[in-house]
Amino acid sequence: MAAICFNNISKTFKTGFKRTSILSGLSFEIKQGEVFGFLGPNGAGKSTSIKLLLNFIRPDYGSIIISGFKVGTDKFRHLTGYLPETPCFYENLTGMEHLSFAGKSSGINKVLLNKKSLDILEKLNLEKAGNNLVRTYSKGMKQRLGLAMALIHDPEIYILDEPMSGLDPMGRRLITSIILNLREKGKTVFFSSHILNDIERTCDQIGILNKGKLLYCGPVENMPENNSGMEDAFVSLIEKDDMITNE
Amino acid sequence: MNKIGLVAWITFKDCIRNKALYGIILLGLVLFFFNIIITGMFSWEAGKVAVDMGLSIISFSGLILIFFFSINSISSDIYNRTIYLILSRPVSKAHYILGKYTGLSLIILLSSIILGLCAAVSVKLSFLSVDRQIPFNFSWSIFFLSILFLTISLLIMMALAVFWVSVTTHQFTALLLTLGSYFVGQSMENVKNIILSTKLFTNDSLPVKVISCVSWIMPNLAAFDLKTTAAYGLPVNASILLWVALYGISYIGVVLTLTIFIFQRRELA
Repeated sequence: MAAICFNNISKTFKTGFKRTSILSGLSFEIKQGEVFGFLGPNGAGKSTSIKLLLNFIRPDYGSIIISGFKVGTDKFRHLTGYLPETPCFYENLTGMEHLSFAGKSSGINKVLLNKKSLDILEKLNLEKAGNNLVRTYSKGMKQRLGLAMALIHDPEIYILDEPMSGLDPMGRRLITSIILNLREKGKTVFFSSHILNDIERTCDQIGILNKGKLLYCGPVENMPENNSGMEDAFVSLIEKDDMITNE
Repeated sequence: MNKIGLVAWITFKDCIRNKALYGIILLGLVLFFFNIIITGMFSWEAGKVAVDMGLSIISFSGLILIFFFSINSISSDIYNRTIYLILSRPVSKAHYILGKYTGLSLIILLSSIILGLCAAVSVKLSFLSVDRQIPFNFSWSIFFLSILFLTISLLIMMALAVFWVSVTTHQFTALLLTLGSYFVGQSMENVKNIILSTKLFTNDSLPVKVISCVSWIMPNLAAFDLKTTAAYGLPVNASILLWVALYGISYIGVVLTLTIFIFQRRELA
């Protein structure tokens, strides 16, 4: 059974009097235990796909299945951990209080939750800031706290929207090592990123999206025109698609 | 229920640590101080003025909390996308709405308790300074009962604020609609009384019946206003008050149900 399955997803948004197509006929599968990198230029539809995956918005057409549960009708959120692109928190709560909310809402008991929270904060180098109000956190600290909230209930599937954005090289290395660690544990990770090096290092499979269409889905090494590196292959794929679309 | 409690808990904690809340409560306290000074300037019915002003200050501070604090709390959740951190957990949109309402209502309750006690102190001090002008039948129980009904009317306004924030796409629109609901809710009863006073229509006539019906839908906030009763020491009809309280609680229930129904269909792009 696939961990995540997009079946012919289409989505349009209303802009004024006309509708703009964001995704058209998007279909792909992510197997259990796979790290899947979702790539694409700005406005390609990556964040929209993630919002659809989490049922924040509904598709015009098609369906999404997470471990056999249909998004929109079945309860699936106990299976997923989510990190938004720019996580926003309650500025007057502490990091520990956010983790407490995340853990309790996912059904973790109080005794276990405290221990888990401390472990995760330590793992993400936030142990000293755990009792500070979030408004005193830097952007990188907020990003790590967001990841801590995704990790706290040890879900099977992780959905990370630009997890490396706003992080310094140390922070990026830390997140990369956590993703690799999750892969070792057999967890499924679906993440979007602009940083091709990180994708190359961590992903089993990638999906390349441009203007709402999936241009490629498969292993990094099988990407077309991959002889001179992933970046060139990515740029060439997008440029070709843009040329075809403009014609 | 547990999930509602969790959302209520983080909402309450986030608000209670917000400096703006202390600013609003401080404003209320300053106004009570002015209540004592202003009452001292009245040579006639000063006791009634003290009671009326004390209750008005609680209402005013509560409305500021709703208009500028509660509306902002929910709309910033939606527009800053803090809501994603909640709804990506096993927490439904219904849990979110009910939790948010409960958390913000606790703030209103707390503010009513603090300001209610301050109002009682300011009224007592005013009475001490104008001891021959205390309303004839003044009763502290009716004074506190009027604070309770005032709080119920604030909770109704809070439900309407949550409703408008959840169904509109802009915070300012929600603020205007909540303000509109408040003014209509306050004035429909007066409109009915003005029409009746013209003697052109009777209580059974269609226009009066329509206005009466609309006043209960809008909602009828005037029914919760016991300021005059408390200030003049007028007798209260317990059964009417019980019906009004039941109406208020049912109104909140209906508005929140409608809010959940609409919010569940709303996309959070």
